[in-house]
Amino acid sequence: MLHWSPASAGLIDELARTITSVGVNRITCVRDGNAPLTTHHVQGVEVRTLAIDVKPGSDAYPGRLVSDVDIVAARSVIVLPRAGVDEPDSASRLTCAAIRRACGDEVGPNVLVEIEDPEAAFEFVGLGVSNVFYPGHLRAALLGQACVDLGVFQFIVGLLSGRHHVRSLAIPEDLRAGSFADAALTLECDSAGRAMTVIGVAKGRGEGGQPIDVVVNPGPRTRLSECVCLMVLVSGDEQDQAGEQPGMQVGA
Amino acid sequence: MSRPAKLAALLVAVLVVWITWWTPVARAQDPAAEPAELAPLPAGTIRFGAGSKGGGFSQTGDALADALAQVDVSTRIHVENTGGSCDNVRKLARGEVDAALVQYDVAAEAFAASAVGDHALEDGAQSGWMCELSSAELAGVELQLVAAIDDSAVHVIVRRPVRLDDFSSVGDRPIFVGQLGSGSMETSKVILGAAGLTLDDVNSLPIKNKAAMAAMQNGELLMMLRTTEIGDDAIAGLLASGMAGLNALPSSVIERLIDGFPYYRICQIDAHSYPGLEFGVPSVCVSTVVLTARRDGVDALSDAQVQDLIAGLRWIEHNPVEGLPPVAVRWRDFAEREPVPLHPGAGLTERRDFAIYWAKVFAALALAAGLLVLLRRFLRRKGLLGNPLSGNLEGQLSNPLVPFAGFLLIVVAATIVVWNLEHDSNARVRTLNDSFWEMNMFATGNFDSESLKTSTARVIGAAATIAGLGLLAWFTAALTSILSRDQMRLFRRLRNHIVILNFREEMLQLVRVLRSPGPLRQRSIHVVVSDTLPPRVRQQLTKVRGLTIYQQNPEVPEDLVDLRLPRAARVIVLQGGYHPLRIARAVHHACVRLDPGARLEASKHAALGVSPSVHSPALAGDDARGARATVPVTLVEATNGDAADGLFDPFSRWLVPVPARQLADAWLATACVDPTFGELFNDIVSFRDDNSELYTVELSESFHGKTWRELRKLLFTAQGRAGIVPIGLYRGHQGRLAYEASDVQDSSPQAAIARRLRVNPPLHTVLSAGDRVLAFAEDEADLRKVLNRRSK
Repeated sequence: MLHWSPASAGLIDELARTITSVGVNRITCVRDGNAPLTTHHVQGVEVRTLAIDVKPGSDAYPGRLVSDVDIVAARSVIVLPRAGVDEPDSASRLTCAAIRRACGDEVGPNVLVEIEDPEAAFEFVGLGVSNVFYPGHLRAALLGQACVDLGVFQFIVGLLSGRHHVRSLAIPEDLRAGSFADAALTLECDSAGRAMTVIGVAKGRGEGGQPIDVVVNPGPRTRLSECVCLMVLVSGDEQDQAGEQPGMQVGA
Repeated sequence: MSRPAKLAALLVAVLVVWITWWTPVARAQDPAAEPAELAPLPAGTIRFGAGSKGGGFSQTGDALADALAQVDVSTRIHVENTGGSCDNVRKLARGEVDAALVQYDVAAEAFAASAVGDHALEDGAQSGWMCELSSAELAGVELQLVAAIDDSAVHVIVRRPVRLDDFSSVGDRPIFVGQLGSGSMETSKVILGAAGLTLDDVNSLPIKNKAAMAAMQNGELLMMLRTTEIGDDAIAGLLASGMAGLNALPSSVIERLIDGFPYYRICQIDAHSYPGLEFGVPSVCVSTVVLTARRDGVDALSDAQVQDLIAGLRWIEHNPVEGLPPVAVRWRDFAEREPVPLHPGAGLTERRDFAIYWAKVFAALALAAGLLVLLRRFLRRKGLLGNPLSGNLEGQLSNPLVPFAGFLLIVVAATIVVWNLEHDSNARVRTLNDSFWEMNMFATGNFDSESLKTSTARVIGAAATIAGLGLLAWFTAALTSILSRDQMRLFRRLRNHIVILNFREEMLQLVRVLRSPGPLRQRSIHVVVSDTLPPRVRQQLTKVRGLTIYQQNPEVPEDLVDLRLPRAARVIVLQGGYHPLRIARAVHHACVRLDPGARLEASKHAALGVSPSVHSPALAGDDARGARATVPVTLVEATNGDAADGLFDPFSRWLVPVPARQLADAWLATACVDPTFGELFNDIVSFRDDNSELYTVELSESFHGKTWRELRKLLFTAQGRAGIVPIGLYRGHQGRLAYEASDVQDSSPQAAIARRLRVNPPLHTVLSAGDRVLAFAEDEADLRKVLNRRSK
């Protein structure tokens, strides 16, 4: 996590809860300025906190990202808004550019950026950012759904809080010639015997092999031969989903 | 009792005492002297001059004689046949009768003639007064009015299809203007005079009334002038034959007549008064009065006798006699001017009636005021009366209904007053309809300077113009203000609405979500903003359809009453300039203490509802429940610490804290390990035309008893605009409601909803009443359509 500050302590808890299910056990929090390296554990995950004392726009910053946190080897990077600056989104853009330079020709990590101004999202195009996150949109979506339908609101809260998960699932060979409806009606339970629902398909894969071009509810007659994997909704704890992993690990 | 109420009661008491003291005194007054020149009749008998035998006056005289026998008075009358009004005035002057029926124009002229003094005419000289009365005949005689009893209208009857606009066009053709010596003929002379003609200028036939009617029936007359009561049988018969029609009295004649002879008043022969009369005909009316005389300082009748006569006339008024025009006893307002003075006995009766009338009015007003005070107290106690704190001057000024109502009030009040002032004398305000139109013209500044005649009416007209133009300007300004703000607050909807408190700029996105295409429900949105909200954001909000902005302090409960929170579908409290906890308290207070429904409930239970009734809210869509005071489901944007500190725990029965930051962290954490998640999540929560969203729809009875697996099969294979992907069930309360109110007695709305939501339920789950399916669909209508199709 770059530009981390103690105000984002809650994010560490959420990350710790989530990443253990995918076999990741270290979180590195990078602060701005000077601070000694500290290490502690949260929910069994090692949390390292260190500081980089150069500005994101400086030529030294990419080197520090490589030398101090081995950014190229990171699975994911979260770029948080830099505290105490007038244009935090601009600082985040410089940080993303620095990550890109640090990775050079390597694929690099999955980069997520949290922005404060939704209009700044387009500034991250071409910087290898997979997700630009605007918290205001999430708040609006949650409260808006609560106004439209309390049941849907509750489902979304469950989805965010880990009660429900969306996973990718390889298309079984015997269904490859079939349609989306065939898969939805055939795949009723997960490997643990609990009910699951096929909710969509992915029609492509990204550089890292992850499903992209996800379509929820593509229509019953959608040919599975045109899809790379199925998206399924499962409920319950991640640890209980033996033999299946969320995201791209479970894909084909 | 309040000060105005005490004053009103005191006034009524004084009036009652005055009436009870004064009336016996008035009755006890004795005449100054015995009636002069009594004929040899039983003592106390009044010689009453009527008219020709069998005529209208004679019938009235006979009816009065009968009436006196019916009422408990000692006075009796002896009806004497005379030659009519003119003859009656002369007989009164000579003392041959004590009272008589006279047409008021004749009476007024006679009074005027007597007022000029004893001026004997030279031999052969003619008198120009009506009935050729001379001042010498009336010397020493002062005519006195007992009462006016009925009205006669001037009827201009013309041979069909002739219509007359000007009497001079009659020329030499034969007409009839009245029987010689009758009051009707005298009136006709005056009317011809107002048209610039004398009797010599026209070819008036010297025949009797009956013969004139026959001549008109035979087509031998061009025109008749008859002064008689409206609805006269003979005229009705004539008009029914189709040989004649009623002609309006020319307005120029009416105006000149009223100006020169103000003993008449303008009136209208209403539509349907006669066969075939489909419209009102303007005319003039003159009253028939009972006159008496004071000769050489001696009253012909005593006060007691006059009061007995009035009692008899009133008996006829209340017991109409067949064949006799209806009698209405009056002393004022029966002519434009009334120069003939009242007999002292009549004056006493008039003042007593006046006092009784106003005492009744004051008593009625006091009673009405008392009832209003009691009603106000009752409504306040029941909590049905609006909170005085919720009203404000600014709100009234910005409401265009206020000046509009004021304008209507001004026009209506001016209409009534001006009509009362001028309907007898002004041909342009004959009816209330005319007066209303004229006052509309005045209030809008389009008046004609000649339309009103009296000074008082002109003052009222000027006031109506000034007030009307001011109110119209106010109305226009208020309407312009509303339209420029693009907020039709006049028509704001305050049921099943969404209230957003403590709005901030970042939440424009929320408003966009609520106004996105997709859900069938487009609820009205009421947003409370602080004065620190940037103008550009406010401007953006004003462009949103069905959204109303309030600039208020959401921490003040009284400011929230106007939002009718108990009837809201959802209330959202955001982080911002005001603290969400204090806003939550204000919401609670506004619903439990200040809302009219809550006050009603509190008064029923004699205690304030500290533990509020909570909504049993609709899961989705409108909830058509009654106006019971409940606290609505309220979503509060909470910080991570709020939940940990239990900040909102006291409100857990109705308040749902939404830890937005915590959920945002969860989003980031999930997207960290699953790059697909961000795209997928946006797809689920965004209402766009090119994606599917989640909806819940109640399952109809035909699905009850089926299993979840069967429902899945039905929906997965259905083809709407796109497909349907069912992911779970919501076990609703009565189908539409999110939960039962008792569910949250020891729980919270969120827990109750979570308990009822079943995502990926076991495949053998049996569907039952109240279940709703949670599914992805292109839009809600699509899902409903598929379910309806599958249920058949």
